Amino acid sequence: MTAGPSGVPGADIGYMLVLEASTYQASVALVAGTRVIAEREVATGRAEHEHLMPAVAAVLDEAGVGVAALDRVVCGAGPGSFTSLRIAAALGKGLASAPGGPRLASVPSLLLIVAGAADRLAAGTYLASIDALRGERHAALVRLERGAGGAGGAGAGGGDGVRIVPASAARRLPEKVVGEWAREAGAMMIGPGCAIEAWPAAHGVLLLRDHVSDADLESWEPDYGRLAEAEVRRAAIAADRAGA
Amino acid sequence: MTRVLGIETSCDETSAAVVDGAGDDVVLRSLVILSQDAHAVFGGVVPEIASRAHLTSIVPVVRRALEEASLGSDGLDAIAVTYTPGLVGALLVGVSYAKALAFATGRPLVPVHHLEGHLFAAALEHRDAIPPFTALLVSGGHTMVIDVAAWGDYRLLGATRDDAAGEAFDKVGKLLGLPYPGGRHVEALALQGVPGRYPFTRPMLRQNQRPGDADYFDVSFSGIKTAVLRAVEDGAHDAPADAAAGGGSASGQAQRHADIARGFQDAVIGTLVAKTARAARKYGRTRIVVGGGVACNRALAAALRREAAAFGATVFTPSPRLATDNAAMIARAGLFRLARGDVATLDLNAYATAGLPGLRAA
Repeated sequence: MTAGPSGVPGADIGYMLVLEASTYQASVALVAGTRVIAEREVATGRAEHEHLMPAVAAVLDEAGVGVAALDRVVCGAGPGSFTSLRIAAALGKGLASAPGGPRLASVPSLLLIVAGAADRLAAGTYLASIDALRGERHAALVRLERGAGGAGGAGAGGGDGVRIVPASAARRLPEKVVGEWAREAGAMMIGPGCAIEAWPAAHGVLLLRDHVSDADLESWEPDYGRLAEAEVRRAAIAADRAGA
Repeated sequence: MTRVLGIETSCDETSAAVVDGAGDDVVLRSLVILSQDAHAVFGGVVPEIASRAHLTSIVPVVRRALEEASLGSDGLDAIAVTYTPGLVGALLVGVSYAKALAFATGRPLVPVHHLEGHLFAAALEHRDAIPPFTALLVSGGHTMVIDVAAWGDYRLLGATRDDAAGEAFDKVGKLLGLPYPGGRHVEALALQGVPGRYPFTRPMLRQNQRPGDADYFDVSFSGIKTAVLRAVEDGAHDAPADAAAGGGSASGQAQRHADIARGFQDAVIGTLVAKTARAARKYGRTRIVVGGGVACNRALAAALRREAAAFGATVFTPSPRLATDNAAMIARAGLFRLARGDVATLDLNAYATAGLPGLRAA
């Protein structure tokens, strides 16, 4: 493991470069210990130029940190935008493929919504949600607890005793159902276009250390949250034939 | 000597290769091609499935290409990647991976146009397949006749006005009930067909065409595809010699399909050969280079060689693994572009289509 910068709390954690791109508002953060060293937000929709890789370079340049000094490159694991997730994943794999490069890891993107906005949220249960297109949303229940642990404590991942706890698996549901789920769970909806507006933010990884998982460099792929459309149609045809 | 890693993910092949050399003295050190077979059940390439497969294939494919070249990525001088044309989602995997690897290793990133790669493919196997030459690019996505005065100096003489030649082969394969992709199956079936039983008109080929006519070098394959459809549907009614081939029996239908395949292939090849020969004659070229997946068609190569011999030209075709989509040609074209200083910045994107650098109209 690469040592973090001297003078940074939790420096033994090392540098993590985080690439989150499950929505069209992507972000890149370099974190070490309990600190965000540098961060950029990037729009990733259709454009003449691709901006995520320049953001990676800018973040590392601002911090004066080279790729070889990174301990991990952490990709937002999804669910979310197929193409944006894949760009981040391919960038992560490219960085991790370099000699002496960082280990590849991932972190659930829906957790990054709550974790990224934690400094303005009260303790409670949230339904983190993003658009899944076709009238559906990806969603997961997430609990934000305060006072459950100290700064950098095991499981807390952050300062001020903030703790992010997944309270359900991620699901893809019709928009109406998502709202009902939030009401039944007594949860506040948070995410792009929700009552509490927030985007998955790369710096949220500081509160999610327990949820960062090492990933196999060769075989890892994001959780896209849905099959390719052709696979859905083929499965429907197969089901029709089986029922006929 | 300069060592370049090439990466190609424009469609449904994940490929990486290493070339080593300078100028036209280039050696292919390694080539790995992983073809996706998941698309056959869909009858065509599904972009999202292709893109997902590239992401889980790219690391092992690049790793193996470097191992076979006995190199680490720090032993490279540059990384070349296909950025256009192709499926954007698929291209983005290669482009993003290449950008990050180039950045992490401090190596220049070289953007390569896929079609320029095809122009270079034959040169990896044939030392004389170098400019000046007439190029026939024939694949599932493109059909072009290009005059190559020098590397990077391309004159577009003709192109398809609708379907690409490979696309026509695949569609006709489907009409004949053959597996996808249909090109090689149509070629195999045509071998059993009797020439002349289905004398389809050679598309966009007239005796009275003159240089300067808009369609002198252009091709079109949608009409013949429709003619094949009619022949398949009409069966014995439109085929004068069908009775001799067995009428409406199962074996008769099989022979009829073989005859249709033969008639289709002869017509397409007839047009491609005639247009390419016109181009070579007009510009006085004594070399003809074929690239793209349809270059695997042996009947095309044989017909082109026969025609070229009539005016003293030599035909160069790459072997099948270099004719179809592959990273060796991308690395080779990348070596040329690197020497010209054509390197990309980190905001390089992928594009479904973009002009071939150095291409001008006739």
